[in-house]
Amino acid sequence: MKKKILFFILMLSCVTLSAQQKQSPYATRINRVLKRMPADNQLQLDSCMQQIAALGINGLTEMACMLRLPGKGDNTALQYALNGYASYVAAATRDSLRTKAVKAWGRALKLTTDASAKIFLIEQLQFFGDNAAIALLKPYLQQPRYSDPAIRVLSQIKTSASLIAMELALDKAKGNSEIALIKALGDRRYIAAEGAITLRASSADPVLKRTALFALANIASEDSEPVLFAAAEKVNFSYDSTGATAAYLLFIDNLGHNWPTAPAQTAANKVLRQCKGDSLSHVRIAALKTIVDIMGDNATNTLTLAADNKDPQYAAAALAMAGRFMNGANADVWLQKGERSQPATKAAVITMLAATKQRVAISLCTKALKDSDVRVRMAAIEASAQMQSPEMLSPLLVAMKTADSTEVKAIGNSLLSIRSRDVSGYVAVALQQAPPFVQITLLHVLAYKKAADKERFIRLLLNSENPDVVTAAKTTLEAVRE
Amino acid sequence: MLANGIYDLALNEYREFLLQNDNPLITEIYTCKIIFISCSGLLNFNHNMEQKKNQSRRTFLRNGIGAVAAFTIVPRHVLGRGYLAPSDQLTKGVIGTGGMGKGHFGYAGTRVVAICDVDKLHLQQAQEVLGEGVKTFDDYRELIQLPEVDIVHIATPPHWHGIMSVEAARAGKDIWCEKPMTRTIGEGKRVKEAVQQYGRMFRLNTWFRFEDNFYGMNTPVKPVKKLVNSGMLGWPLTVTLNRHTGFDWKQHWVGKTNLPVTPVPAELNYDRWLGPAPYKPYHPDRVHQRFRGYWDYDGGGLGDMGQHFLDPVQYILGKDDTSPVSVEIDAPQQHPDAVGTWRRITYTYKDGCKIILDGEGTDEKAAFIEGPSGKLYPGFRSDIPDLAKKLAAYPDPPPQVTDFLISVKERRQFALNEENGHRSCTLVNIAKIALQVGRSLEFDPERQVFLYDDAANSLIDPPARTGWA
Ligand SMILES: NC(=O)c1ccc[n+]([C@@H]2O[C@H](COP(=O)([O-])OP(=O)(O)OC[C@H]3O[C@@H](n4cnc5c(N)ncnc54)[C@H](O)[C@@H]3O)[C@@H](O)[C@H]2O)c1
Repeated sequence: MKKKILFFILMLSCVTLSAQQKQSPYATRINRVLKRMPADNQLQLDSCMQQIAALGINGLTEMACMLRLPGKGDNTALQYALNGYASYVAAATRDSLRTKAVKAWGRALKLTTDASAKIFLIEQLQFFGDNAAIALLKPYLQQPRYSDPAIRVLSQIKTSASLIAMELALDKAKGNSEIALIKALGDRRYIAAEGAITLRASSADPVLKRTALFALANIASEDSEPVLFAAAEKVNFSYDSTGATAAYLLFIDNLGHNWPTAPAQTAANKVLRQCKGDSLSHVRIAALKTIVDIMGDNATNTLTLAADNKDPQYAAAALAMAGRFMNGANADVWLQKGERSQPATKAAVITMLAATKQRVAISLCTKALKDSDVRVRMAAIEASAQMQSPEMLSPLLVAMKTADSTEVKAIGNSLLSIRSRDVSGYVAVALQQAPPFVQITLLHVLAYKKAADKERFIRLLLNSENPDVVTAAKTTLEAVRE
Repeated sequence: MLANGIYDLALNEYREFLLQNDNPLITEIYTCKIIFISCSGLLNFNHNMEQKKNQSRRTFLRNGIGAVAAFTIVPRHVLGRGYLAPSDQLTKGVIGTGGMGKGHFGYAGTRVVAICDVDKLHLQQAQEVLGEGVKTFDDYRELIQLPEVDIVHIATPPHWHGIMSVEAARAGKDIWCEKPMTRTIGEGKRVKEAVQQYGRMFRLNTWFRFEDNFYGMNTPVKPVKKLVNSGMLGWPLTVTLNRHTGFDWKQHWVGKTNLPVTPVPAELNYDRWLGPAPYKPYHPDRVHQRFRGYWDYDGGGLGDMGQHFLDPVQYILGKDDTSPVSVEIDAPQQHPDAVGTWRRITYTYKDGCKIILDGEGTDEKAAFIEGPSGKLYPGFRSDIPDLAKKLAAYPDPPPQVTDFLISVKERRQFALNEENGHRSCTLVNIAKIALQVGRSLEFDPERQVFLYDDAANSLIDPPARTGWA
């Protein structure tokens, strides 16, 4: 018995010895790299990555297979190394390393049995996966555990081969895999998948239906219009869990980027006609935006009409859109519009022109400061501050004489924004003839501007009959001398 | 369009009133005295509260934008206490009722009508604060469908901000979103598109470009912007953000690796917490607050503080409609899951302006802004003699809409909105990507893609996980 035991021990030690002798030729090199993980800087990182590159396909495969089961060891250094290498090979001019890395990954994926290790490896392919990686990923596309990361990688590869692979997988996919594939095909606007996706657009499962509707919206083939329209109409263009309305609006917006653009415009007009209620303001706005995007510079008339809409959200949105398309030519149209409009619209046009820094706004503001409507006057005052134009100095100071206290304060603030060294000079001159409340505001302006050279004008107000003006003049003198 | 200045005054007055009378009972009891300034002049009348209740809130809001003339609440000293009936206040639904979400309950002039969280305990605690009347949800898609919600507040971890903002816009809601605006550049682009497509108002919840002292700079941004606009510092400028100029990068927000798998607590719907993020086994370090240490949800101190710090700098430099052409990093290699620290990040714009994020505070003598003709240090110190006096002669920067309620009621773009917010978030996001791929990168500000780098580009709009219910 003793002999038998001795023999067994001897055999065991021989086996261990031979195993040690047969230790992988890469082990030492891999360990050396892992010990340097994480690299402290880019130089060190590059040097480590070069060492990994030197391992070749077999060495890299071995390294990728070293990931341990969760709870059975610390993978941190390996994760640094593999992730570092995944992004290293994806940089420009490293194509041959990339090709080898994909091969190594392919082998490692076959050899690795642990799910978390497999998922980690699949996820790294998002950095450097290319057409060669598609075959590696195909087996995972319908497997619930792996389909999400695998499809995310295929979606990033963005080649026709990756799209075909996903389209084929969709045939038999179920549950999350099906949803992920539809989303990916939609995001990549893969028109060949339109039929398969359309079938799912009538699903009773709201998540599947929603994914399919948005995918069709992204693909934006004119043929999908009836399906998408029907879905939106069914929910009365309201917001629902299938996102039918948003999908239709996205669809017509995408359709507007295709040629011809007429179908998109027709669809958008249909939305405008059908969505009348207050609660659908945002839906109308989205339809208008599509029309305006298609018409581009020619949308000015449409927008000037929309600016008069009785729905103030819609009108405001139209002006915001106009602002984005503003140029010298249509600024004149808006100027005329502003001049002819009702007070609320006129004020809004002034604000919009000023926000887009249109010079025509100066003449409009100058007239608007004398308007009988306070909204128009206030818009002009605020617009002056936006435009910061020195040309507004005189009109603002003149307007102060007849303004109410709120406007006077606002003008005071606007004066501070005017881009001119002459502000203090103009203010100092205006100071003398102004009513007391205006004088106080103007003194504040001089104090803020620390207009020491205007002391002479300020001192004149020390003789004012109004005690508040005298106090303000004293404070201003102190402030400008500071 | 309302007479904005008057409206400003009214709201300021009202805000002041609320500050002094924050007892809801008082607001229930007192009668509102409102002056409506009609097209033809001033019309002053006492507005009885009971009558007001009958008027629908939606009609009030709709009319608030121009159809009816501007209104102002007459100052207290003239008419006694002002009042804005609850039915006239803007209503909001808050998604994410963790640490910051609760901070969204209290803004004056609004009231919370609905809340949503995927952690039952957080939801319950929030409801205890707000009372039984508030509706509760564990699915944000139900909250944003509520017709009674005007503004959707998003105070979830960043990996949700983009998706929720887009959905809220599609539902016709205005949006008040926490920083960082989005976790990826792709999401940011989609938020911008959706907000503009649906004509929504969007505000990002950081405010230093228009109020408060700008961290350790100990001065508001306005005079700094004025100084830069004056040209006194020359051009191009270099801005340094480190602890000596007043900015702490919170490098403690790092993640842990090798997390053991832990059971999900019963109160948390972890699948819905993860949502678009790749599935990773649960560990308490991944979720509440500590999500900041993981790339899938945020981006460490850079993600947490980046937009607070960088948004005002972008404004100061006048870069609201563009992005840098390069981002250089000096950092240790990053783990694919857990965020690590970094030493230095340098952005360069096409015109030569630079922003330096000095994570370790090595540049002890750095100025906050340095230009060829002068430097500016915290506390508005400068090597330009008599700076304050010289600066006084220059114009103030153009005014901005800094009250989101005005933005919503008057449909005027907020100071920090979907456009400039996307750009300042892009600053954060391009640096995060450079750290993740471990190298400096070149960026095309127009197309918003990296040059010659597939790995970096794969992180611009990585596909989201699907299948979360
Ligand atoms: N502006 C600021 O000064 C400031 C300050 C702190 C935090 N923040 C920001 O606020 C956000 C939240 O941070 P926090 O510190 O409050 O984190 P937190 O973890 O305390 O709160 C987040 C909450 O969102 C919930 N949540 C997650 N997914 C959800 C979903 N799908 N639907 C509903 N609820 C969901 C969580 O359960 C949690 O209750 C972050 O973006 C953070 O950067 C901003």
